[in-house]
Amino acid sequence: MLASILSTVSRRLTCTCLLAVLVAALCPSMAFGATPIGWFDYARNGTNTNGRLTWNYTWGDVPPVYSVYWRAGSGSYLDDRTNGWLPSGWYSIRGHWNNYYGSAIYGRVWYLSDKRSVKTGVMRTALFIHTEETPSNGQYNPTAGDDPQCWEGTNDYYSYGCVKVAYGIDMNAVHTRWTSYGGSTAHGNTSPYPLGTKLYVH
Amino acid sequence: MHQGVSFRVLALRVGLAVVAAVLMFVGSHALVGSGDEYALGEEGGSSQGGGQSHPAVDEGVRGTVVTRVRNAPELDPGIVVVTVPLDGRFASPGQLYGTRAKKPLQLGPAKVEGMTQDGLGSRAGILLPDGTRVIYSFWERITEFPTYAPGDPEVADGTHMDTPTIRLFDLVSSEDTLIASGARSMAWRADGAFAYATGIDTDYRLNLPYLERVVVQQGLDGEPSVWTSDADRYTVELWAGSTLIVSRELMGGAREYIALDGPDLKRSILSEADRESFLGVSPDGKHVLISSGGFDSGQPLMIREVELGSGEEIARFSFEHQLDPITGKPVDGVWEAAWEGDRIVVSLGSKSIAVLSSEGGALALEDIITFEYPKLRDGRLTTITLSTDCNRIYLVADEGDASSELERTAVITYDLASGECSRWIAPGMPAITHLVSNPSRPR
Repeated sequence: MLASILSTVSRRLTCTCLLAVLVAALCPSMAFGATPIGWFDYARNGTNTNGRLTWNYTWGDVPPVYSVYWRAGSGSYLDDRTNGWLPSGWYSIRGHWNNYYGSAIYGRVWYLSDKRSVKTGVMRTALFIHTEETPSNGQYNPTAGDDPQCWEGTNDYYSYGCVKVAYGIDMNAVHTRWTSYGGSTAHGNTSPYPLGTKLYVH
Repeated sequence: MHQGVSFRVLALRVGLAVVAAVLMFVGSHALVGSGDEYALGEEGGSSQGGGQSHPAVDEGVRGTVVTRVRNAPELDPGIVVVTVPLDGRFASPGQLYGTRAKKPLQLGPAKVEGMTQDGLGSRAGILLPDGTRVIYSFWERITEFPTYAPGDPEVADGTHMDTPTIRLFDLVSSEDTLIASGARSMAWRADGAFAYATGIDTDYRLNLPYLERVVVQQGLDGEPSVWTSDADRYTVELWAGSTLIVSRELMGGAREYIALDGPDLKRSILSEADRESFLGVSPDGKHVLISSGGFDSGQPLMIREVELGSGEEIARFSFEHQLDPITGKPVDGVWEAAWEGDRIVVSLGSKSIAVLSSEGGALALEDIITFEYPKLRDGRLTTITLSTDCNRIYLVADEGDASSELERTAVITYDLASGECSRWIAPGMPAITHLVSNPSRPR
């Protein structure tokens, strides 16, 4: 009888512990009771159209580092002084908008700091992380060719130095990670922006 | 007996394969030369012969792969270059080289840190028509650019970082004088019309857009006349006759090219956001070359010759069926052009250029030339320049191991008639080199 009770308690205790571990794994914030700290990492991978944008985050600035990544592109050529991918190193994020209406890019964007290339000395400016969508986050495809507010496919990973991710699931996930996992819920380019060390390019 | 014959045949085939492999290995090394030789940057002028032609890349058009490059101890007499030392900080002024200079000449004001190139990437210098003076871009250093890395010194947005200036260097007297402070990007026309962009704020301030107005003055001392009353991210590109062509950077890095026919008389030529690129102007300044389509558009890559005044298309050439001689992949992008007489040279990327002719309202491809030697990095060939007799091509190439950082740039000279190719690198500290040329028409 006693053995049976002990066995049952033991099983329940094990199940409870496993459940606690599962919950902790799925929801680290509950485990640590801390706020997330996150940053982007863009790996160029020697290509303009098949790099990787990763969102890294920790809870309370302690390991482990959790990561989620998406395919991303940058530049219309490799490393050069004009249209190549953006220079390597750290960037700050100068602003974030959900409904940006720029002269060439639109919708959900993250505005990057100016960066001087340590290789060429030339500065790159006016760069963003973005996709190809309308200011209201939809798709507009009026022509048979490439439209700047529509993600048609792989060729859209090319840019003039910006980091681009695909419209839809990828951009939605990037945005969710930024707002909920250690980026910022703020919009515009006033406080808390600029946010330092928020993108590492290599 | 039968098995013995089979064995001998098999052995023979294996032997032949080994011999063929050895021959191919030796042959390839004979063609491309020694990587170490270039890694050491030999400057003794040892010749490796001429270029080599490969099979046609398309019907009727040959592709040339230049694998033998002579190391030239001196610059070609036809050119002048400005160097930017790769000192890790871009704060050491460079030098001026060229036969007109006779010896390397130190640029920049004395004891002032700075960079002998435009910090935003426009043309580094222009040789004035008298051949004795060079106007060049110089960015005086105020504050070290932040790395933004965790733990590194932070620099507040709005901090004064650099003062862009345009300076004049006299090759005869070696006098170096300031022309304009808070100014960058420039164009000079044969009659002395001098255009440049002048900043609303004299200094570039961290993470604030460097907004400028385009001004034009007569000669170096004339009174500046404002040609764009609005301030924007302008860059002065070149004169095309009486029209000044400028570009405006759009958010996202693409540029819009604008024709200025006078103060605030603006016409948009094209926007890179619409997948078009500006390449250059014809010798008479009346036509412009524009590329469209290619890698990111789903449309065939094309060069179009367009009348600047009316926008009417004069000729077009499609690269749709052209293949890169080395990679065998379709040519997918065109960047810049030099145009002298009826000959046009454009940069294709992947270490390649295309030579075209423009005759009777038609554009025709003559050759695709690819440069291939150890240390030449895969990338665009820049600052393409043609000699006035149309026979010599000058360009700048990036060098370094594929897996490492840029080591330096080299000036490549290619003779279209003889196929001879030479390479010059600045002596001493590794440096970036900029050709001093003038794309304006007339010049």
